[in-house]
Amino acid sequence: MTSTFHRFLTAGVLMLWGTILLTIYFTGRICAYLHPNFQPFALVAGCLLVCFASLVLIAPASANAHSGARLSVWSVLTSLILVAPLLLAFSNTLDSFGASTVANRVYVQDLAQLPSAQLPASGQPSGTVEVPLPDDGSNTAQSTNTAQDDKYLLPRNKQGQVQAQIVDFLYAAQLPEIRDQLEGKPVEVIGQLMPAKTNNPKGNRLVVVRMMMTCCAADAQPIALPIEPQQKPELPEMTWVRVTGKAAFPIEGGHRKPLIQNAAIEKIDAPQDPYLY
Amino acid sequence: MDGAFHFSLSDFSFAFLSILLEGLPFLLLGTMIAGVIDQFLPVRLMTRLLPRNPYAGALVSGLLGILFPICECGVVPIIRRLMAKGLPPANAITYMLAAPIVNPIVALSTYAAFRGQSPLEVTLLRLGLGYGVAVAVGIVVHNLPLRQVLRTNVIADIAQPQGLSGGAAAAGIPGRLWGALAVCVGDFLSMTVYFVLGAAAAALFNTSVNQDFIVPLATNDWLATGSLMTLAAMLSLCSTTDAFIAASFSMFPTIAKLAFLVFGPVISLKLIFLYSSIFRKRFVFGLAVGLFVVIGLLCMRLRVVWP
Repeated sequence: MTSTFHRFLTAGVLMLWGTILLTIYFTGRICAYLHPNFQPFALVAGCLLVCFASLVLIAPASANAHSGARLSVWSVLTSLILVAPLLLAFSNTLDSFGASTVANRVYVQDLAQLPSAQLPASGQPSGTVEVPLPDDGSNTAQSTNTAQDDKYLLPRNKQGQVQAQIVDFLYAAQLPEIRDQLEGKPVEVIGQLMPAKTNNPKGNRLVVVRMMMTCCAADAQPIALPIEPQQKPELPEMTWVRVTGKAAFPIEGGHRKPLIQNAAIEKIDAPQDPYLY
Repeated sequence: MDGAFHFSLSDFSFAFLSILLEGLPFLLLGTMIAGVIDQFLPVRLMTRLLPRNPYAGALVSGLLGILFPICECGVVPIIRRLMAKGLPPANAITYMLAAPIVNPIVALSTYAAFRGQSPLEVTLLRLGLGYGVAVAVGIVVHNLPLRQVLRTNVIADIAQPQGLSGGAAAAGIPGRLWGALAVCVGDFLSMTVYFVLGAAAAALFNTSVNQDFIVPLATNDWLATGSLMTLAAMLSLCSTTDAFIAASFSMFPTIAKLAFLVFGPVISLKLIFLYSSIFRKRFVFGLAVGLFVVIGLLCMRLRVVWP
């Protein structure tokens, strides 16, 4: 009796884990959690767990017996630890971070802090500079992967504004060939609205942020671009916005910093893939 | 929101699930390999292949990650089964600590992440330090009584090395496969309990603690090194990708980033819980403190390379 209960308990735990993994994968929510390179692993793991759960139910008694399977207070307790936090998290997650977590992380506002940015040690542009482009598929059609071949052309929208990603501004602060396309020109950028934590001497600045994921959502870092709005918006933090204004690269604290001046802010829907990679 | 701590259940749940989704496939892979080892690896084979001299054994075990690369989540169930198959605990622990660092995937990712920041030096030092520390721990463990290192149930497994456990060998290949499944499932559930606890602790830190508070520490080498090692332990990142995070700490000295890269894959919140499934809690505590001090001091000595 107890071995039968243990068998069903084990199969139930495995089935629950497998089902949750597969649910997250097949509903597309996996994009919020994992870098695309890691998503297939979750699918395979989910399928294996469901298979294992089925196999545990049909396994010969000897197979379960030799593994030392037995029902005890400890096995019930461990099953609770395996099930309760998973269900709690699954039912409470919003599949994105709120303002408090983003504010708790260090804003990346400099190319040297950007994960996977490839600048020579001197910080000067050279023939070996690689420009990892924003990878949300929104406006990179005319871009290529190197600054050297002079084909890193940012697209423009119907109003003639340069459509740039936040990382483009970080690169532009370091690389004149990209800065030339932005400085003093009307630009458009999308991101989530947050308060400026630093570099805000007059108190009139906000930042737009995009989360850059290296591996999973837990390691995502906010890439931030300061803006000076025409008027302070009445929007909650982390609202997705389209910002249009004039790009500037003033020298502040001895470093060239990107900034959008005279910024108009418009609320928009969240993009299909909110991350940069 | 400006305080040092702010908890949000939805954010915690999001980070917790993302850590689980990232690590669980590798933990499952590790337990599947463990199941195969249990049922198909002849007893004492590992002992016969490795040098009998314990010091040479530790030196060779530290390099096994090159042939059998596995990340820190997957390696724990594997060494548990390898010990049950007769691999000396000192060699097993050396492999456990070295494999997440001394392997080709980590070498490539570290080199790629640090391009423009002395990539060759950082990569070689990461692998070299990781290897040296793992071998040193293996030699120390060799000189410790097993009861101070391993949990009682693990010692019992070692005391009665499992040829092909439970008579599965007599049942032929199907019997062994069923046996491998049972071992895999048993190990997966027991390890995942600790992984869940570790992921919860990491997610709590990840979402609730204001990381701006560590930035001022970057100006002092000692504080920078200690704080990045602590951060590595708290974040519990995967060793195959942690270099990309480390490289982004531009305000921190390179020695502090190196300490982050060597310490994080061997000691982290999730690993402390996973280690506790095999090792005595006192040993895990000693290992964590000892590695923190040793890796920190070794990296500080490297200031002559990166003043």
